[in-house]
Amino acid sequence: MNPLNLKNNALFLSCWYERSRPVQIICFGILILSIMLLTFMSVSTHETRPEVIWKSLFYVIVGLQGVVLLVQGTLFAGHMGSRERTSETLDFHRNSPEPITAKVFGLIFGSTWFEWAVFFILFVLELPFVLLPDINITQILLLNISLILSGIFFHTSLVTISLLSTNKKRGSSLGALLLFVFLGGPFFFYYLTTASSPFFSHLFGLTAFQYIIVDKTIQFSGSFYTFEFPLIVMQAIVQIPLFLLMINGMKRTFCMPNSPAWSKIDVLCFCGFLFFMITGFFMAGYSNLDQILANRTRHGFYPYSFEGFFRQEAYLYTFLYVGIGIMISFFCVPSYFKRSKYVVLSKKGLIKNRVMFDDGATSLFTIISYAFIGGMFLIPYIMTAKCSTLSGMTSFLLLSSNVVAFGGFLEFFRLGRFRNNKIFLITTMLVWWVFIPWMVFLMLGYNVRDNIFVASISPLSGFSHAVSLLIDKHPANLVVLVVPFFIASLMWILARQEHSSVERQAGFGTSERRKDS
Amino acid sequence: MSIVEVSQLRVDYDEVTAVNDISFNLERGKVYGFVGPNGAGKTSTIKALAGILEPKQGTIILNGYNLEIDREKALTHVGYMPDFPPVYENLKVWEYLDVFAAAYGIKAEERPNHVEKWLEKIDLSIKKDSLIKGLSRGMRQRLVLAKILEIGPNILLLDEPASGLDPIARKQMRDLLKEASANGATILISSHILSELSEFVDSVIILEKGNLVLAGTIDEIRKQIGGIQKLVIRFSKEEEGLVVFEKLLISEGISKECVTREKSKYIVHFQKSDEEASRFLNKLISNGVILAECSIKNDDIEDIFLKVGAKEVS
Repeated sequence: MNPLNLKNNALFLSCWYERSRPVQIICFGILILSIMLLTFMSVSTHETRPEVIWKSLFYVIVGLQGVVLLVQGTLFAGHMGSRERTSETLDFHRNSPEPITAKVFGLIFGSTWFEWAVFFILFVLELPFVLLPDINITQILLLNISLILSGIFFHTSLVTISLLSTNKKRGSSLGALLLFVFLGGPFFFYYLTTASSPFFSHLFGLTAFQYIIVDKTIQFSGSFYTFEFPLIVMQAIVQIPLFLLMINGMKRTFCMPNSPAWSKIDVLCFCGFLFFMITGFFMAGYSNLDQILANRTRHGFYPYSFEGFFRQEAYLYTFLYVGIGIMISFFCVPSYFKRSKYVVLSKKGLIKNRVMFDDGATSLFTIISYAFIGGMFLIPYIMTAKCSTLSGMTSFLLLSSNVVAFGGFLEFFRLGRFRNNKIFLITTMLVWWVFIPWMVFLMLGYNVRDNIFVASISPLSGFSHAVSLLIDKHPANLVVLVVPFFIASLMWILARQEHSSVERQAGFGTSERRKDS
Repeated sequence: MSIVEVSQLRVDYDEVTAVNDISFNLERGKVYGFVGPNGAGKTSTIKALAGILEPKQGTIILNGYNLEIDREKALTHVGYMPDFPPVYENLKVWEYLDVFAAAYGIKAEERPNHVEKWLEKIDLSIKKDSLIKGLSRGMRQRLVLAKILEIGPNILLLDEPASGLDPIARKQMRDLLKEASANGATILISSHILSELSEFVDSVIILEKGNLVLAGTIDEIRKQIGGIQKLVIRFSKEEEGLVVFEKLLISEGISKECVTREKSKYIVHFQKSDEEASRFLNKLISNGVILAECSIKNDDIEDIFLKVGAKEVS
């Protein structure tokens, strides 16, 4: 079946029928026309120059395009995704013989057909504005291509996430949450160390503004490693692989309902992609790094002064941070796939090993890959830093303790008994542990840096402090070192308790069965 | 030839094994009752067959195709109906049928007539343009039944399909299923209402705690478990009849535990052979006992299930 044959695409039709009610269409049409008319009337009351009036109208149309496609379209994509899950009609589509590609295509474009239709109508309305002096056809085309790329990426992401977020199968939803924690980790770390990255600008499609901003006060970079790409190409390089990742997750949700949405290979590829992109943007900044740093006195919480690009001791830190990569892979990443109540029980011989999560099984190759990726993430920063061996070691210990604490935290929740509200609890605990200490400081106006021994309770500050130690600006503080280890110990005590509890329950189950037999 | 072949199927939910290494085959055009208490693994098995639950291990072959390898071909003519009907609340009745007709490859130009035909069959023509959210549960159930029958299925997987239906709708559903079966569809139907299944199933598969306990035609199972026949009698003159009856029980070596009484009726349970009950009845009549009522009944699914279930538990 051809996925583009929309007349015979069931998921497309189901969305089409629901969203093609005349009242909805007419009301929305009136709304769009009213906004345009009001803009025209409002501008023309105080402006006599026709080109300014028409230009204002052009910007309103562009704005409407963005809002309709990226905001309303994304919301509807999410809504239609969760409709499939909550009404359980998703099971009917899983059971149908339609090709997976047709299902994925039908849901993504069916849920947003109305927004796409409005988008293309507005695109046609934009074309006559090329007659205005400052607007040309290339500008309009690039803007629209950029919005289309972002639209497809946003809609696909929201459909996939909504299919997972309301998932009734516990394994998948928890898996998805943990996956997002892992996926969020590198972003988060990256944000702390290299704020205002061009990566996010491309990811969120902000580069589209470049095509309509006339005064060019906002500049976006297309620099990548030693290349200079057009912005639209750079946006495609960032968004398309992530779009494919989302599509893969969606496909697996359709045909592998009780497996994680992404296989371990998917996650590995994603991490590799992130490393490739982040390093690419970072390296591209080398040529004018001094200039950038001169204009940026604060970086995250700490002032950075990159004094040398390459140090002789770089190999030492490379070694240390590959060590951190191994720790991450050992304590955190396998938790997603391997450590669970099921594993505890199977070790007791009560359950045979299951095939279901085979693609998530931990192997030596996977651990080495994660170690490599984990280590490589940090190398660019290490190589540009200048610090003493003591600071380097302290930084390493701090980062390690945070990784161990996070591993313990995951283990605790993977083994936890409180199932129904597990997602709620995991979120609450993360918020308390990660954000609250940090937010209290911000709200009270205290300087996090001067009170780092308290702030280091939160890994948010702990990580940041560990990285800042690399530039030799802060003396090592014993309290700062002890606090994360204390947190790590606490997390592992909790995890151990859950482990024992599962074993006790397993033992109880066995004796009961024996009695029965 | 088997249209459904299940071998060593196992379904796990985390640490719980819902279905444990079960194997069975379903023949073309036959109706199978899927019986078992709550938590026996019926729904998990049906979901695994419908391709909406991944088995931990085992092979499922539908229409000659391996579900894991040739998913789309295997599911081409498979209809699945869960106990609670999943519907799009904001779609109209005809739109719902149209959507799923499209999912099973019925062409756009053929669909309007097709949908009309099925709406008439399930008596929902009058509600054609109503939103589904305004339908009662019974109507929704009928709509979902039409959804799975409209595709001309070879295999029908029905999980408690009659729940929520009134007696008239149940009869209507039975008639539709009989028609589908007559057209060559294989039906696997799970139900708690065992008397309902008795009327039209050819064979029964009994599950207990995820294990397949027994499978076969009702007669085969009856023989397998030591078939039971019940002789139900009511004496015209109870006092006189009872004297002869008790003597005959002793002479035939039937213990008092095999006899139960329901008001004025006496029920004798025979476990050795099918002829035992009729031989006893002949002797009773030849000894001059006048009977106001008599009947010989074979075990129905309910009796078999209770017996097998009791054995399993003990």
